[in-house]
Amino acid sequence: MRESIGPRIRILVACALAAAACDRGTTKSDDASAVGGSIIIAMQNEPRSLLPPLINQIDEKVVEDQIFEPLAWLGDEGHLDRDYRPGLADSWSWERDSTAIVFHLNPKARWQDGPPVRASDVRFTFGLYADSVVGFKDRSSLARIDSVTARDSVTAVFWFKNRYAEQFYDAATRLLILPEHLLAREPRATMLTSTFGRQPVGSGRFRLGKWTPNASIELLADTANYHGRPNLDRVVFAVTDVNSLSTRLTTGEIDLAEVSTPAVFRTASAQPDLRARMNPAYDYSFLLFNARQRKQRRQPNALFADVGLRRAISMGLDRGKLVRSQFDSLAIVSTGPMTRAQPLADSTIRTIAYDSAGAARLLDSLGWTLPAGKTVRERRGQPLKFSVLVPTVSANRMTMIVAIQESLRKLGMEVVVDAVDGNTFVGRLGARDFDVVFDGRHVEPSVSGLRAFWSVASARDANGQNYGNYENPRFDAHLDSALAARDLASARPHATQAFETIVADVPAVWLYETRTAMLMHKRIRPVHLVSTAWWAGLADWSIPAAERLPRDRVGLRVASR
Amino acid sequence: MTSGVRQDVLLASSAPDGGGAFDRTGATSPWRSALGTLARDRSAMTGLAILAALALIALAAPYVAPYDPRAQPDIVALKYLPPTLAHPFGTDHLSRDVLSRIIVGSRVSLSVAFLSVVVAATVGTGYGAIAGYVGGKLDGLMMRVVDALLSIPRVLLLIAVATLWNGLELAGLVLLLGLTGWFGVSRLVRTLVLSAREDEFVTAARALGATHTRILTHHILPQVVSPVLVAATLAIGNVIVIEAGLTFLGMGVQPPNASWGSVFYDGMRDVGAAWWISISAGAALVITVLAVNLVADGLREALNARQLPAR
Amino acid sequence: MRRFLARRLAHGAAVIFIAASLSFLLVHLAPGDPFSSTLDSAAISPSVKAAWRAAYGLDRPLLEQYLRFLGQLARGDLGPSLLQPGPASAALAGAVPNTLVLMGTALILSFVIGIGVGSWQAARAGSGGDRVAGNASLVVASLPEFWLGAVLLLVFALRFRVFPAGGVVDLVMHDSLSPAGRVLDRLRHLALPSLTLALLGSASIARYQRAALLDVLPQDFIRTARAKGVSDRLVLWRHALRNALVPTIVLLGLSLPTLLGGAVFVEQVFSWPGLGRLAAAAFHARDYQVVIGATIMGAVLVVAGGILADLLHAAVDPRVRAQ
Repeated sequence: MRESIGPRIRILVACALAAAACDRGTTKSDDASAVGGSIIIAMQNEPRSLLPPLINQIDEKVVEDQIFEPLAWLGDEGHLDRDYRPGLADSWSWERDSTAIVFHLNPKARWQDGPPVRASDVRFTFGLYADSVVGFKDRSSLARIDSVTARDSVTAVFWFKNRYAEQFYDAATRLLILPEHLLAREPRATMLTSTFGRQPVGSGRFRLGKWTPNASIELLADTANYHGRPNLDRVVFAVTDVNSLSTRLTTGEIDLAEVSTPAVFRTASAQPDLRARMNPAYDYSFLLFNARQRKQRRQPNALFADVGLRRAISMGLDRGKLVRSQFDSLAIVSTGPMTRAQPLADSTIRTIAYDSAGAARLLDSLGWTLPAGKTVRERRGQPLKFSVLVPTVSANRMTMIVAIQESLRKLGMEVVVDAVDGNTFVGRLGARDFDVVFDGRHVEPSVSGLRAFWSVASARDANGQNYGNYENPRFDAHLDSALAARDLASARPHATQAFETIVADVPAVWLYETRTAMLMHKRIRPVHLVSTAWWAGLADWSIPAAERLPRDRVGLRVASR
Repeated sequence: MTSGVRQDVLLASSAPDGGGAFDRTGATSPWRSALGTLARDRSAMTGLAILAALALIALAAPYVAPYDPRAQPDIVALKYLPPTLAHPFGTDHLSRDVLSRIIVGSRVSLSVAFLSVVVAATVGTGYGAIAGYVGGKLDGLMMRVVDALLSIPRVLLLIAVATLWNGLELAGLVLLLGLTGWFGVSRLVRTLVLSAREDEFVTAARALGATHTRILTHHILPQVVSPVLVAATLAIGNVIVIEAGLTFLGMGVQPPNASWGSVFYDGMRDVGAAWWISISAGAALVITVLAVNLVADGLREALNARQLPAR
Repeated sequence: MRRFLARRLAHGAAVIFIAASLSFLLVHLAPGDPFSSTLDSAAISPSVKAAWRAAYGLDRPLLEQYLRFLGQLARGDLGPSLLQPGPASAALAGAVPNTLVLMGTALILSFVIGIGVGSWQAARAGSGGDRVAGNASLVVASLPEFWLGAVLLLVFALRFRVFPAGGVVDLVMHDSLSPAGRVLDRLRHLALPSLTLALLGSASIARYQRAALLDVLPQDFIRTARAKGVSDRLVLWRHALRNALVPTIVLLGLSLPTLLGGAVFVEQVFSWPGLGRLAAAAFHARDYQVVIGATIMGAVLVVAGGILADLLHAAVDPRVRAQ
């Protein structure tokens, strides 16, 4: 718990400080001194496409949220059940039985190519996101929306199959509304290569300027936008790999970056021109045990069906030290299948403490003893040896597994690192072809994703994502109660019980929650730094006239191309 | 790779037209005289001494290394220690002794380089010998294929394979480096065989009814040995650098195996905190490549009858 | 001459065709495809991926895909890129000029430095200066390019901030600069990456040039020139250099593939959006069309470089011209 307080308070303070600026931001700024400036943001992975349903990574979301708009934005405090600010819809209301939400679109809203935004665009957008062949990754989160209808040209109604806590969040924020007139004729199965994805047109306050493959994406202020033009003239996303990030931040070639490497963070945060700010964690990583034999769901795993052995391994790892050594302040020890940034997470749950001697005693008592003169424990002549599946694409996991291997070697276990490429990793994960896997998850503020990863149904579904075959009906029951609750307060006790249940079962060693740090040039005045999306209010950010650099004074040149 | 340029250059500097100028009398001349020339070449002997020392260290690595290269005494308090007497090259991000890792890593680096060059030289000699000996249409076709393979930059090809089949085992890496390294050798061998085929001895042997196998193994291949040896020595330096480069891009030797490339890469993740890791590994690498090049240089001159002036 | 050129061109076309086929085979035999490359894509169901494969024709037999690919290639079309919307040829068209500029500059620089140093050494062969330069070039030639690139970056971009750390142009300022300013902006960005490649290349060329010059110097015609009373320096420059240039130019063709290979690393270090970076990203994403396209472009560069070197050779050496 103690660890979680720090960053969270800092976020709240940051938001409170930003709140004063928020008001100024949302009022249309006619104040000429606030207008102008160009900022350059580092982007690690270049998007394949800027078509929002094909979202594959966070870098794409950052850009798409500038060009497109959802119906409403999550507010600065990040409470899912209240606290939203208008997006494309300027107001909304609930139907009496809470199974429908009515969104009233801003009547002035227009697409960047001219036509007005209609409720039919919203209906079309839902159809596109929900169409399985398009390939929206979080399509399951839309499963409880029955349909979307257009009551009139500016009123869209979302109809739900049942009531649940995160109805509004799902409807208002997950869909970035798309122009039907430009996309209706595009074949759905080949959306990935549609021209629209390279020349997107939305209703957001920035429009695409120039996209130079492998180098940069330039967004320009949409001066005709119905919300008013953004303060900044220009936002450039520069494709930058980790190796050169530190240098380009230090030399001022980049104004803002989300940093996840301690070395880069330390070097860059020492620069007087840069300000650092911690983001909360939405990723957690863990060693997942397979409860069943590889690829054979019928048989229990020869080693890891035994909760004692799983517990001993967990006790044998000094997670605090592992995390501090590798991440400094950029990660915290994980407590379960959640991150502390999730409103329903409960980090007071009792976890397994590091106890090397206790782990050795536990192993002895399980029959895994160290024969004289040997370095690996044995039980009935069988050595305590297993392999851990690790994806080579994850530098963090590849580094930590070496430290884990050494820790467990000292306890008399032989760990073989089974390092494979991303394709093979995903394939073997899906086929449940592993004994232990070093896995990681990205979470949303909502905990609804837990069902897909840890429920009994998912374990029994051959295509399910419960790769470790964890099965506990009590966990499912608690989780279902939490998800069915109508607000966070009534969901909380159920969520806590669900977490306690799963943590006590030790289906995994919960290792770390990675968080990122934001480094930003000090001349930039950010607003709306929502904990899940620092970029949400980019259009209202500004640069004071007195602090501008040459690049801020370039102005909005008329496209000469 | 640069060292690739150098390899071509050094070969070309005695054979601008693709290898033909390797004087065949030089190749067949007694090895003893060549060795004598080599022994008088000071820089070549220095290179050879360095290589011999490195090979010894690699062979005896577990006994020479001051620490267990896997041991992580304290991953928080003892990481990134600067060089001291206890740790001459400091410690790395997991508090492991860098000197021990470089010593043990020399095994991987050197053996990968050596074995892959053996593969390359064998395949290249075989392919080139067949093309050159059979001649005609088959030769033309085989050489077009080699031309095509040579026209794809080797690094691009290596990165392609290493990315597409990511997470290669050491044996895979050896094969990969070997099977992308034989194109030049095959061309060289083919040229040599082509001219050897017209040799008086060969014509005589053929007239006496010797079999193709006998002609190839007894008369032609001996003339090919020394140029291939020079090319192979140069290739070793080249491959050491390539392996490090691939590991630098995250595609070479995979942890927990250590090679110079991976030690270098480990150091690069935080150069600001511990520059000595990359510098040490880089130095080991450069010294080895330099030694290899000195030896190759000496070998070429010793085995080559055409004397370069003013040396 | 014309027949020679025609033969070289036909030969080059055959080579490029084989290279294209090889790369086609390579990417299609590798595990995975464009729709299985990211960790995240696990959430997309296999049936949807199957639909995508069908939509892009990736479910057809390999031979059929190959024939279709050849048909497209004959029309000069590579097909759509799956990494980025738009045809693969557009992605290549964006990257190839950057690589050409980088390689061209590096090539010229390395020959200027290399021939200069080599000739300087040859003029005082055996002296202390010759030995120092010789050893230095041997050491430089043993450096890996990612290492030299990283050192130059740390020193000249980070420590002294003389040159920018990456990219081709200033992302914001470039378009608003004067024409001269734009050229200067490009040169500033080009400096470090091209210098990295040029230094490494020039080391070998210097060694080569020195050897070639010393090969020529004792020859009869130079003795004749000297006997005619031409000064030593003039002999070196006029006669020897001209003769030694011939094999050095042959080297041009030889060094292109390796230069391109080196550019791959340098592009990574300096975030240079060229062919190497594009290819690396395309391999990673299994973007078949761009992978094949990049391989073809690499082969074209190498083959064209070889032909160009032959033509230059003919221009410099009257004996070749006579053939």
